[in-house]
Amino acid sequence: MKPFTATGCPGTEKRARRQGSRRRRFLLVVASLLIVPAPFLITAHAQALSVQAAVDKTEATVEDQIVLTVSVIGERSLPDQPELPPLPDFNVVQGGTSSRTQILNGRISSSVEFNYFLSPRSVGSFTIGPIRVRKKGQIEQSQPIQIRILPAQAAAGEVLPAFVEQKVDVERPYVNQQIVFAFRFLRRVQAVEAQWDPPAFQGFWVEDMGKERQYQQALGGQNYLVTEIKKALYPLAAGTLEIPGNSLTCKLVMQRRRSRGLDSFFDNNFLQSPFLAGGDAVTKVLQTDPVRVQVRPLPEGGRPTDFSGLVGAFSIQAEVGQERLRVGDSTTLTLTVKGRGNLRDLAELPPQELQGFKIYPDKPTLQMQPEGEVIQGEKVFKKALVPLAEGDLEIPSVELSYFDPEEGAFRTARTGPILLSVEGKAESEQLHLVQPSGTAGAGTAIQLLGKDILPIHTGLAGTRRQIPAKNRLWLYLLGLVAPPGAVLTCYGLKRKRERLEVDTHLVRRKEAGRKAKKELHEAKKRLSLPGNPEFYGQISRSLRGLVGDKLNLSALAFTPAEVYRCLAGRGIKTEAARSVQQFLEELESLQFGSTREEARDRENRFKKAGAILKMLNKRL
Amino acid sequence: MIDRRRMRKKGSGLFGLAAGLLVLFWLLSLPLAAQTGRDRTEQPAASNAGSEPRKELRDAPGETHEVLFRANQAYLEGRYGEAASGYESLLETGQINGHILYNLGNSYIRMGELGKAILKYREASLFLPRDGDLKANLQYARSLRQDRIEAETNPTLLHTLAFWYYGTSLRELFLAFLALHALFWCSALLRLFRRSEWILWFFGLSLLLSLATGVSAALKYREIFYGRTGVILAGEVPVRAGFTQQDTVLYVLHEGTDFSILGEEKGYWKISLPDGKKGWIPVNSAGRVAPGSNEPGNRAHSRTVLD
Repeated sequence: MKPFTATGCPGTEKRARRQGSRRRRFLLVVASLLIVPAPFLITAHAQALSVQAAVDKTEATVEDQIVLTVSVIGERSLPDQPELPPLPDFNVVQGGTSSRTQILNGRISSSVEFNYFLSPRSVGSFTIGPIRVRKKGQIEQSQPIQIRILPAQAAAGEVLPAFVEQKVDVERPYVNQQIVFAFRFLRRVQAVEAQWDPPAFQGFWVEDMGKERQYQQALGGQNYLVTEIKKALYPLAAGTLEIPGNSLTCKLVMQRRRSRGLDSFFDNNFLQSPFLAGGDAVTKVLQTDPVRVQVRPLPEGGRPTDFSGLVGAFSIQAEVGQERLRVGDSTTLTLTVKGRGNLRDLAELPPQELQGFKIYPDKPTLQMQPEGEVIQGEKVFKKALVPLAEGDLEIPSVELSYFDPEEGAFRTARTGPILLSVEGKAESEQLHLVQPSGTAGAGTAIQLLGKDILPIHTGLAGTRRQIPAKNRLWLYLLGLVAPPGAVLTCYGLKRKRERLEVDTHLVRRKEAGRKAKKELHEAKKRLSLPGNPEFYGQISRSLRGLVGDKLNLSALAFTPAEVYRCLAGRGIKTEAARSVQQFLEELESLQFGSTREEARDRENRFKKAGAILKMLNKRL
Repeated sequence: MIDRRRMRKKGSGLFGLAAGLLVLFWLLSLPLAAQTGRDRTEQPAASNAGSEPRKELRDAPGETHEVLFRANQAYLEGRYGEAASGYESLLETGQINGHILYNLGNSYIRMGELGKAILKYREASLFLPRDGDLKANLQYARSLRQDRIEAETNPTLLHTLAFWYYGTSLRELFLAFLALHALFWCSALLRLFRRSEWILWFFGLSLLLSLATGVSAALKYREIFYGRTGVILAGEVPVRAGFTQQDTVLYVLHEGTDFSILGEEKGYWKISLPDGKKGWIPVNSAGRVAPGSNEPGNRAHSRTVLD
């Protein structure tokens, strides 16, 4: 029986549990009623869609970059991209996007911001906008923004902190004449993150002139740091060509105003960083003016017949590897063209053919490298010359025609003629492939003086056939067949031996004849001993042993009658089997009886035993 | 009683006999290999013989020796045409030999017949693949060619990878095959009576090597008798787009240029150059590199035309 207590009463406990459960259910319902409609309530208070556009400055110079921010308010998810109106007077680069959600006094406001960087192209007053945003068929637009763009030199007398310029060294070049294009970035304040977009050199062949160069230059009493990039240009056709204006974007670190004392104190490079020196990094887009080049055609008058289009100033040199050689030897003719101009266009140089020589041209090599303010080039043509006849042969002067833009006239550079002394072939076939060019032991390289074939083989080796002779085919065939034949024979023998080891019947059968003959041979020794009963015993054992071994039976327990049955059962004719039985019985009676016998009878019985043994050995 | 011991003794005796036969065969192949080696070692001595033929050659009996001696003598005295005829007559009798082909190549180059010289040098290189004189002369002859063709693939790499094929003659390959074949069967024999790991390795290795040398020997034989490469013999040969005179001339080849033969049609060879260019040339303007096709028994199948 349970004790009666206030808490221990079963009825009271159940009631308390039921009450707790009801309370929890009530709180759950209330919370649900409060939480579930909250989003609907909040949405009901959300702002309607609106678009606002703003710029970081409404007045700027052409070198400044303006940040345009388009805010779409009342949107938490990303709307479609704002539709900017055409802005032909600005270069527009899209920046990042950011979104913001704010809950204030139960009211939620959301906005998405789109950033754009505007680089002015010209001076004047401009209107940006209205900017439109579409969302589910709804179109909202911002108020237009007025911007005034001033020239870079707006402040009279103020020295520019940085600027860029592009120039060419010749404004009226000839077609294919080398001109040097230079882009310079000059600044007197620190500049970081500079990016230059090189212009498209439409109508020019362009060669790089190495890495950029930095130097100091004084301009208007101010010291500028100059970064210069140069390219060699070759105009491809006559007419007016334009190198378009291009821009360089960078951040200029503008110093804040300080007292003179502090300025001089902090005037060092380390403290000039925008973070330590208190400078402001201002993004600038510096632009150059386009450059126009008036390309003149090459004059038609006075143009040499062999003119290949070379324009510039060139020189040519010729040299040969050796001036004295034999017929059939080769020497190298090296033609070197140096100068300023479009050497890439020079494909080949004469002579292509030369009387008395065979010519093997090599692939020419070209080296271009900047020297001073221009690009100098060197192109080397090598030709192997093989004289075909002996005597003094002349390599005539090699001419190179080109147009000199400085003089405005065609010029011809030429080499002097080269005389080669060619001797006849060596009379004998002595080997003269190499000959030391320096003193012995000096370690100098050997010089190849000539080429010829090596002598014939006069040894006995030439008298032997080197194709397998047909009369020796049997030997090769034997070589192919003998090894597998030997192995297969051994394999067969091995198999047989293994069978013999396992199959005792087979062994007995194989050995039966030999054993019986041996026994009979033993009996023959007693043939001359009359009255010896063992003679007949041995003959009997020999025959019964043969039958036993052949039929895998115990020979000792064999009676003549059993021998007869076995032989008859094995298909031997009844007369023959009966004859064997009778002979065995006769042998038994002679072995154990006391019958007198003649020597001739013994011999006859021995012969008969041999005949029976032979017959049984054959038939069983 | 069963005499098993006697049976076992008999089996062992036969095994010994078979093993002895194998060893005997293997030993038999050694003198043949040594003969090939002798052929090689004689070459430098012969090369250094200079202008006077060796005495033993003069004293050697037989018509072959006599013809060879006379041809060599004619060459050394500058009668290159006569020398070439002598060498050619030896080849026609079936005396196919790398040294004779090499000497014939030398005669042709002296006569100014570059294409024939390169053809004979290339045929000689099938029998004397490691001969330094031959390599030098072939290189020299090729340097005189007018056509210079850049090969698409690097032949040196191929020659390095398959060194046993390109560095050995048919005879050497065949003898190596016979020896490895015998070794393989020896290892098989050993495995019959004794099973150990090293015998298994020996078995596998000898099988692999005998297969490699056997296949290589067969390929070399095919190359010697039914070669699929050739050399331009005429001074200038137009290579056409088809096998008739009316087909467009694609390009022109000159004497001594090597090519591969892709097929034959109506007296024209379809050829391929090392740089991949293809076309058709008349059969009578080029020669096939197949020295075995000149053997008397095989002459009916010969496609080499030297005129």
